[in-house]
Amino acid sequence: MGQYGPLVHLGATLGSLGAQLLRLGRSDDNITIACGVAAAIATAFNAPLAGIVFAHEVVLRHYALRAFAPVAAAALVGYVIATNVLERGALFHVVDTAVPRPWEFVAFLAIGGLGALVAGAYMHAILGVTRLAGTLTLAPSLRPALAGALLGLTALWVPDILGMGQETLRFATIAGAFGSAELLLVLVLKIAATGLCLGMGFSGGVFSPALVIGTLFGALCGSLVGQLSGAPQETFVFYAVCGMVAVTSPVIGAPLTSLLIVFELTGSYALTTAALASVTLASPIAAQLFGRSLFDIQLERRGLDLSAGRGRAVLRTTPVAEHLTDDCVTLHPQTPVAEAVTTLCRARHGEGYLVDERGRYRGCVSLADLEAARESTAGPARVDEVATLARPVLQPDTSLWDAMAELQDVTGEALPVVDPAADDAFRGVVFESSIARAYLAHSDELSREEHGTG
Amino acid sequence: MARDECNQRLASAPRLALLGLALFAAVPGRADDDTLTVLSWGGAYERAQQAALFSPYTAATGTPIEVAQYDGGLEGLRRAVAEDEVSWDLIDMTRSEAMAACAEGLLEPLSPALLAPAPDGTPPEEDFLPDSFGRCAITHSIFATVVAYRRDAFPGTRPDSIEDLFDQQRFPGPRALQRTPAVNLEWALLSYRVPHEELYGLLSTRRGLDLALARLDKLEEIHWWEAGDTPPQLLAEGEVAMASGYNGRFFDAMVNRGAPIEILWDGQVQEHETWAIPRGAPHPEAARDFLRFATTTERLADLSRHIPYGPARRSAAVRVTTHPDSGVDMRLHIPTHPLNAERALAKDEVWYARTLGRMRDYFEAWLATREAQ
Repeated sequence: MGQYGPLVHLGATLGSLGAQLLRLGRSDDNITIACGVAAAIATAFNAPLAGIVFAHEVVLRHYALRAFAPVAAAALVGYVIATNVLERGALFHVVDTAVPRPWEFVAFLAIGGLGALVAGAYMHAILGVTRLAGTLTLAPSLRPALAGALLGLTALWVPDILGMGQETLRFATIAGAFGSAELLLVLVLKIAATGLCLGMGFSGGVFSPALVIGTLFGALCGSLVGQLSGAPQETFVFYAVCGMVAVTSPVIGAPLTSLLIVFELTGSYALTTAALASVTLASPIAAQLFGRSLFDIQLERRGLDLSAGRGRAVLRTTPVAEHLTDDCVTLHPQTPVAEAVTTLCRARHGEGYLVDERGRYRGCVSLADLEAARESTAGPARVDEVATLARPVLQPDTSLWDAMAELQDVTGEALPVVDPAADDAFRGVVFESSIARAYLAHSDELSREEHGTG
Repeated sequence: MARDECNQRLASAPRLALLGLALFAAVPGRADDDTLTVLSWGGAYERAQQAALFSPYTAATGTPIEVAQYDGGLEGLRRAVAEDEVSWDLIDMTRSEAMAACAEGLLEPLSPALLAPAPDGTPPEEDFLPDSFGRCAITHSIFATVVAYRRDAFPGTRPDSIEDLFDQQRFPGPRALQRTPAVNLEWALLSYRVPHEELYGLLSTRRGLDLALARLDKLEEIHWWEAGDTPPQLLAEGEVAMASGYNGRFFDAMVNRGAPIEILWDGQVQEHETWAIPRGAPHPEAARDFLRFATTTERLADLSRHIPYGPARRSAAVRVTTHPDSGVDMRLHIPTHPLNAERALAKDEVWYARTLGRMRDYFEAWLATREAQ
């Protein structure tokens, strides 16, 4: 289980708490959350640049100058505390290595492509077990116990799958520490064990296991390349690091962050360039096949789609009911047409909404149709006999985004809001113009948030 | 200015040494009430201390110094403290033993405040190398365990990295290693290109230990040595092509006895040599006074001219000059010289204090199975 996930969560929670204490708005709240996340990453990895980029890449999902300064300051403070107060050792070190030969970059690219698949297997192991766990008849509190028992039994045989895997990760960067078959075994078991434990409800992050899995995978590729080419394994650590980045970056959806973590941990430009080759292929392949990141897939399954950026997500989660008004004409279906015309004219509205004695919505009629019915002698005498307009209805929890989509096929003044949970009760209307105005206002705010400077 | 000082010292050192020897000869073995007794390691090391520390101190203060010899270990000290019959005022100890003795309450606490500043006024806290001040011991020199090889063993090539110790294909010939897990395990794991920072962490795992022992196991012929003067001897006689050993002994064989050997500095394992005052020492105040004298920049630099150990003071390291007898530039032979120390490993004595017993068990078990085959 990872420690970084909970750390980042804690950082975000503290950031959000800070925003609540200062009574800041949603946009500033996002920035304080990003600050907390950046500080957590900077402290955990001694990597302030990675912290800053992670906050932008994964949390904010845009680059605004107004967010940069606070996020950078938070990351810097985290870094200073990490290096001076906590004095935690780095995650791993590398000795001075040889520079890879040109053809090896092809191997690094290939590791990227295959790493995306390993990342997919890892993510689907977690998601699959989570789904499976939901169908188990076992009490939720006992599920981690079952996973722990299975894990413990496996670990008696292969202890390398346990814990944070820091030693496993370090050994995997060393040529000759594991045999190829052993690497494959630990790799498969680590994926299975992590999927099992997280899916069954262990608390912990997905990042550290991804680092270990990636490193094992890279080491496996490295030793296979070594066996095939017969070359001395001076660049072994490159393969391990490439595998690490190729798997981690799709899982967290942050290619730049992964690269910067490598750069800030090792200070090796050659290593970062090699990792870049892997990320170049790993990120797009994984994004096409699986989704932007494990977090995005999980959120999407909960109904929050971040694939088109935060702006869309905000519009999707803002309920249209905020703009609900009862400034409309409701008509009883039994109302005579002439009376309805008079009512609408007095209220200066072009549309009336039919609501029966039990408060249920029955349709929408236009003043023009009513007028035509009154003129024709053989026409209907009551409003419920007049043809109703084809008018989509909204629900109280319909989002601004969906309301805007409904508007595309409507010409009229307002959309009725009906609550299906209360037997189709009529709640009021939302004017087309207020939907459009709210949409514009939100877009405007988001654009200010993303491009604003102060 | 600095050169003047050097010249003066060059001129005066032999005179002082002679004077000291004369004084010493005058009172052979007689322990006056104010005689300081120092427990040290004997041999070339004691001769160097005599010339650079003991004689000059007697010349400067009139206090005679008597030297007793030991081969390390705490049993004697433990017994003496228990029986309240401590006869030594100062002990020259490795830092790991000093740490253990301090934890057992066998030593007097020492404060860095008693040390002299550097000639330019730099306080000792900044002048001494990091981790020089223990609770009961003060580091005066850094010695190293290194690999040395016969210059004629590998025609056309020479080892340049610690990995070559284990490469009997490129560098054939028997090896001589100390019969102890310490240093051997470090080198074995370093040969996998394990980063120095992670070495002891990984050696603490079963996998790391197995990897290290597997590397040692690959060596075809190992002579195990226990006494420090064995490895230079084995090399000089051509019994082995490569051997581990203390850098001072190899220097002695090379310079004083002309043995055809060369030191491989890569992977050298550095240890601290310290001064400590035993609990119940007869003259604790005089001992402190000697300690201050013996750790001055001038004395430390002079000691390094006689035996190639790295002075614990930065100000002394830059003042090291030539060997008094052979005229060899000593700076190139001390372990802490930047050229030699590029890939030096500092022995983690805290780690050994916790694990030595278990490591020794694993090591001996491995050795038993190896010898059974």
